[in-house]
Amino acid sequence: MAFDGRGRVAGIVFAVCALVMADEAGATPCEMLADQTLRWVVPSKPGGGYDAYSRLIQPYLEQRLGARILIDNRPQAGGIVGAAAIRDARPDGRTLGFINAPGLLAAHVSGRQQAPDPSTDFTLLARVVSNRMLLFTGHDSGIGDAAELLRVAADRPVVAGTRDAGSASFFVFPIVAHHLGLDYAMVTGYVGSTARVHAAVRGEVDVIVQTLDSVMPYVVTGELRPLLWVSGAPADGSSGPLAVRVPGLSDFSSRLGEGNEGDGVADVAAAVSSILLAGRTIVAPAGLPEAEAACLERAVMDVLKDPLLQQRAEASGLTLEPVGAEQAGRELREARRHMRTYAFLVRSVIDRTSR
Amino acid sequence: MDAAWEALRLVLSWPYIVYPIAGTLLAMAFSATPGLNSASLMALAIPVTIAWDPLPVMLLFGAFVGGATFMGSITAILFNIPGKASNAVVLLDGYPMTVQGHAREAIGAAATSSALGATVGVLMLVVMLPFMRSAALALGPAEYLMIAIWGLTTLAALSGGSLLRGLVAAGLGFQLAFIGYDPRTAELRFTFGLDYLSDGLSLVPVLLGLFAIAEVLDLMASGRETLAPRRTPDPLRGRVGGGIRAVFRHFPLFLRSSVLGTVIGAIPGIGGSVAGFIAYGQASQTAADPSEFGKGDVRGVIAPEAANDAKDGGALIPTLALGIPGGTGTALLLGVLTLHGLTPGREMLTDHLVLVFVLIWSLFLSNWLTSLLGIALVNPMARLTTVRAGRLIPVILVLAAVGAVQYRGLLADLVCAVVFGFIGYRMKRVGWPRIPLVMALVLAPLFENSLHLTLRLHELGRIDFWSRPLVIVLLVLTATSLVLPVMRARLRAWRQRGG
Repeated sequence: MAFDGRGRVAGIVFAVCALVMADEAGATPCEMLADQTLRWVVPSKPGGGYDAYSRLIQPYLEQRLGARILIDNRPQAGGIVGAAAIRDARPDGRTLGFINAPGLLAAHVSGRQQAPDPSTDFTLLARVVSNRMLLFTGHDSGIGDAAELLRVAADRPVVAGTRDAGSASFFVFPIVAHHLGLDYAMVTGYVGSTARVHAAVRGEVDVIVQTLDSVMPYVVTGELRPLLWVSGAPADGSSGPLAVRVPGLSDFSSRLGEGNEGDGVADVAAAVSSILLAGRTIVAPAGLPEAEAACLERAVMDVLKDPLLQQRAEASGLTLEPVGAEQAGRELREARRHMRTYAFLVRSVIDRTSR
Repeated sequence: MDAAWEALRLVLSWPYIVYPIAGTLLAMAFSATPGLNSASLMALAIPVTIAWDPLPVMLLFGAFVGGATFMGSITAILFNIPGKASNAVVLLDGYPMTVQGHAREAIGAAATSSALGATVGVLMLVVMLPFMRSAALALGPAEYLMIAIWGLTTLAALSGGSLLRGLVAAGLGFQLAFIGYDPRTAELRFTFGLDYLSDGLSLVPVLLGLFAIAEVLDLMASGRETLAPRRTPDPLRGRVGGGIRAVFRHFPLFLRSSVLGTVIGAIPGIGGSVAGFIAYGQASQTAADPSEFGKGDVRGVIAPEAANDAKDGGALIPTLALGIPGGTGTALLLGVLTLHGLTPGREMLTDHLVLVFVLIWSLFLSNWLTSLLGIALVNPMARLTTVRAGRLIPVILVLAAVGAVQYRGLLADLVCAVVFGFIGYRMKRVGWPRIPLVMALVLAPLFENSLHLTLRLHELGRIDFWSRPLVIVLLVLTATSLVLPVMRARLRAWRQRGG
């Protein structure tokens, strides 16, 4: 489905209701956007991870801005289509949304002509959460842990299920596999985390790379088994979703020992962690006037730090690690530096999957 | 069972009963307004209801899900304007019935199928909820591919007698569906340098053009005075009762279509648009005498309408049991559930079972209310078809134009609707079917992605296409869809020759 919200007639009906119901907390810091209809582009299907975050933020931001926000799901091409829709919109503050910064960076650096450049094509507003990703396998895959995965790969190629070019899973797995010396094949085109999880549970693919919060119910029931933190294991004592006790890429590589395929994996782990830190980022088109960018950033950050929203996020199993535009920009530049090293790898995967 | 009764008691108690009624009326109003639908209504209602208790929220959103489907069929039957893609198939026989003066009968049949179909959908929802997790896991890319192919075999029934023309129209639909970004590689396809086409063709302006604008052009060219045949003495010959009785006369067909609608609605990712098309196809292909389909056969209204409304119940199954929404409407519902601290899945079906039943009862109630209101308003609505063409044409054109522009706020969508208006008009004049084109537009993305995944998995030896039970079942259904009409036609010809 394309743009789900439709119109100004509807706006009039509910704007009246909203105005009547709005309390002091709903005062409008961005005057120029008050009573406007904003378009919020989501680079995933309805119900996906980005969609869940967007619909969580939507009512709070609406109240904060005094504007109406319409969600526009653009899941195609691993989110590149959604990102391009934001890039191509007028920088008037009325179009904003999520980008998958690491995935987009990989697609751009590896030479995808259509993929927007996350560093220059957008006005950064906030990074909501980093992509804390793990390697998972299905319950009946016969792969008990990361070491067993290596043994399987010695006999036959490991099959990984991912989204398309533009998603984080599309480039993370090849990088990890390359440096662990895994023989692998990729099946791309699983749109939506549920599709990938089901593919792993059915045994169609050996492994998937996912953020933990998007698959937590399946981990709890044991249908999905975590193998490895690819974005660096959280510190001991972490609670909630981060408390999954499996080795990080760096620990795992050190266990492999001297002279093994794991040589240099510690550096890779650091690079992957750095790239994934750029995470789920809220952006507007490049060229947004400074005043509007500042007020939008403030509004978004205020909303992300709203205790009620944080409470609801926790109840929904959604992790929040909000940082402002400046830090998000720094993270993005660092991610870009590391990503250049692996551009050749992503390019080769794209070439293979495009054939 | 106790949870179901407790939920019913809550729904019918004061003041809670107000919520499903108000929700239904709002959903009806939104779906009757060009450019709006129940998804817009739900999106708008989320911030308003964020501080409410979960109970009234479930009541309201259940009514939003159920209250909108039938209204789109009324405009399809009366004016050839489908409310959304899923209603497009109802106009195949509904509109010819209107043109023949049987609008009241068509609406009566649609309203009855809608209410009873929704009832079947809700009953199946209750029965199927516990088994949904394993059912969803059984469906992989190969099964999705076969569902798309099965849907495409209904082209034979949707082609208005000429399979070849139907296939060509479907080919055109496929080609149009490939416009824009390649969903896998993000390469642009067939955009001819036009920015507007980079997102692909949007279904709403295409539908408005192919049917509403094309119909107006045809009405202007034909010189007919009204949509219905005569203004006096009684242009509306059919009766609502006739339509209601027709549903019971064709009860096996109704039941089959409802079950089909629920099952298709329950399959994540398929979307409701397909249910009506497949139901219409199987109705035509299994009919002893399919010759009247497409010319105003009431069975062509009953089957898709039953499936369309039954699928609402079906679509709630993966949403509530797995947290997998089938489309925008259920995704919004999912968002509402999580905003109110309700996590779909096992917890929802155990700890919050009363709320689940509240949602189901509200959906049930709103479907019946919509149908009853539809029947109550059938006379004034059907009278609209006797309004002089000179007065009706500007109104339809304005509604179509507003609908096209409101949808995404793009003026270019109006241009798209006009272009497809001329294409639709031309297709109608030369007897080319338009529904296969729409059907292909709807199914092409599912077909393309499933084909790619299936081929890749087969190439890697991860699936054996021919050893999957569901694939075989769907293959048999596909083959039956293709062979049965041919067999029946031959049998009829043989009988006519006196064999």
